Amino acid sequence: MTQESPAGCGGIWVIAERTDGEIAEATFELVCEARKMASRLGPVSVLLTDPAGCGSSPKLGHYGADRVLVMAQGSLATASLRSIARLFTELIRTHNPDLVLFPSTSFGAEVAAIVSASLSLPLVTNCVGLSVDDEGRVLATKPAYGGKVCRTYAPSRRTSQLVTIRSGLVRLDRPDASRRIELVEIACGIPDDTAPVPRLLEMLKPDPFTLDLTEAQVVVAGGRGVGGRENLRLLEELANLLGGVIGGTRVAVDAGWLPFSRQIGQTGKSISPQLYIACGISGAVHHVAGVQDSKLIVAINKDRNAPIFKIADVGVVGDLREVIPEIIAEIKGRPPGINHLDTGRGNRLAV
Amino acid sequence: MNILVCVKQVVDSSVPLEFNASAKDISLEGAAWTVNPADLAAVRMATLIRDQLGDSQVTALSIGPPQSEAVLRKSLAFGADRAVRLDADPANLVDANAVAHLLAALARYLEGSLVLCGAQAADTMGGQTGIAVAVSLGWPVVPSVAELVLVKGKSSLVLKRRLDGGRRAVVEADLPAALTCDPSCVPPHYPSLPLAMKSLRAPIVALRLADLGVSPKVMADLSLLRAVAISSPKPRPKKILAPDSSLSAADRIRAIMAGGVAERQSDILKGAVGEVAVALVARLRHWKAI
Repeated sequence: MTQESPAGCGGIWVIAERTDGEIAEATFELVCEARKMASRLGPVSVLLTDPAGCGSSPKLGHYGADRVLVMAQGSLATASLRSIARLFTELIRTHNPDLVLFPSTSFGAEVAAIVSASLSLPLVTNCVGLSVDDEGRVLATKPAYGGKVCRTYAPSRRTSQLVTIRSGLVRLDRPDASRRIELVEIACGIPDDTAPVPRLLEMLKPDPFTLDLTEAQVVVAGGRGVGGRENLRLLEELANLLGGVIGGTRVAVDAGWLPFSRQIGQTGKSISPQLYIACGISGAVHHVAGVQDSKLIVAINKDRNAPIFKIADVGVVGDLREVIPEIIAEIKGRPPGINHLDTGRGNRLAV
Repeated sequence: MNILVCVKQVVDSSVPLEFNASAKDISLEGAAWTVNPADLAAVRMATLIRDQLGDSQVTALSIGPPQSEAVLRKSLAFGADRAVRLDADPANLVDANAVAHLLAALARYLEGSLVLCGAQAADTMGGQTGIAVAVSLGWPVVPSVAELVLVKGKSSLVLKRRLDGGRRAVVEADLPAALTCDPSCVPPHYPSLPLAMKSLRAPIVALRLADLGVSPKVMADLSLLRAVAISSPKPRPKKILAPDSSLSAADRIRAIMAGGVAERQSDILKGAVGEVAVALVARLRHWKAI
């Protein structure tokens, strides 16, 4: 660890996404994106808000970061977003990086907008492409007009440029374990801030029945195999436990078990959650096309030949009325083998 | 209390768009114009707050050429009490900070205590302007407002705002403050006929930069971005499998248009229900899915 003012003339800064400790995948994606332009713009430095993440900083080096900048004293973990934005404003004003990458999250987008407005620096949000032209200007491309076109922006003059990038767009390169990273402590503390900020009163978890399908990170969906509206409560309980939402195939919606806003598939919504659990869904292509971009697909179906298993990462052949209560019990940490629902067919799976 | 709502006239992207001759932007010939949906929701949110506060008025603001008065009339039809247009050439309004500077100047000129705008414009899709206005005014900002919870007299507002991953946060902001509104922050609603009729003839105040004391040089200094090219979004190639011939023709065409589906690992867990559940949950925890 070295104590110094990071002498950055130029270079690319990556603002780490705010998390509790672990470095978010979005931050690694930004580092990979920054690495691509490092030969033209200079070394890649990552600004970590939480020093607890220092433990994982060597991994940042493997993905292409040259330096990690950490606050010398105190943690920003409890600081308000406005205070953090003011700190970043001061740092960027002092050190003039050529380019600063922010994650396009509720944290990153707001901080980027505050820094941009405070320093009158150009900001392009939700970039889908970045390149450096012959004069060393960063050209940023982003969707416009409802996503129908892509617009490329260039700065009018030479200043630090800010961009935000959505996670999931940049593919991570193969890590190079031999790359070393330098840990640099930043001496300045959080500036005093007397300006009023909104007070957080309550944090609300996603509500499975009202949260929009396209926003949810976890979706538990039911198809013909669910059998009836009364069995939906099993899916609801699972969704509640996982902080996710309920969805259904066309069969479930046509049967009246779910409203149309919950329909997933060609005629319904296309979703790409982190986790998709398909219960009693056969896996016909008009449904599956709507979920194929999900990160992880789990399938539960009585029929071992159901097409859903071909596109699932992991599958369970069984009756969802037996399997789901077991999964719920296991997640809650109770001993396995306790079955809420007596299906009258015992606990054995026919495999 | 003066409640101000910033409303933008945008190109209606549901109408087919064409690139202009130099391929730097879309062609505005024959473009259909409409009010930014998030801004209209902000107008309605403003009227909800006004009705709870009492002794307040909602002023809709727009920056643009005379044709943008259409969105101000729409705002009046949806309940705004008066409308103000700041005359400006859209070519000088590319940079969000430049726009925010003007909106902040308008807010001071009109002595507003609460400024609302849409969270994002449907054409530029930036999402920064509202926050930049708050920074310019030195006020707290609540971005992505999803619901109004409570109006605590003229001192503060309690609001539900949207965070990532479907979470919401209930926050309290002291006035004066700025809010940016999601399009879904109010339920859908038709304008009332009497208000719609009145809006057709309502007077709209037109201001110029000079009235606000903003110099063209300041605007030029703040305009740091230029749009240099326009292109079609890159399509993501998909492998298309032959559609299932048992489906109807319409369904087969839909299957082709939706693209193919990639096969995956498909690990089938075997064993008794209890064991399978344990294995599945362990797998999900390992993948950090739960």
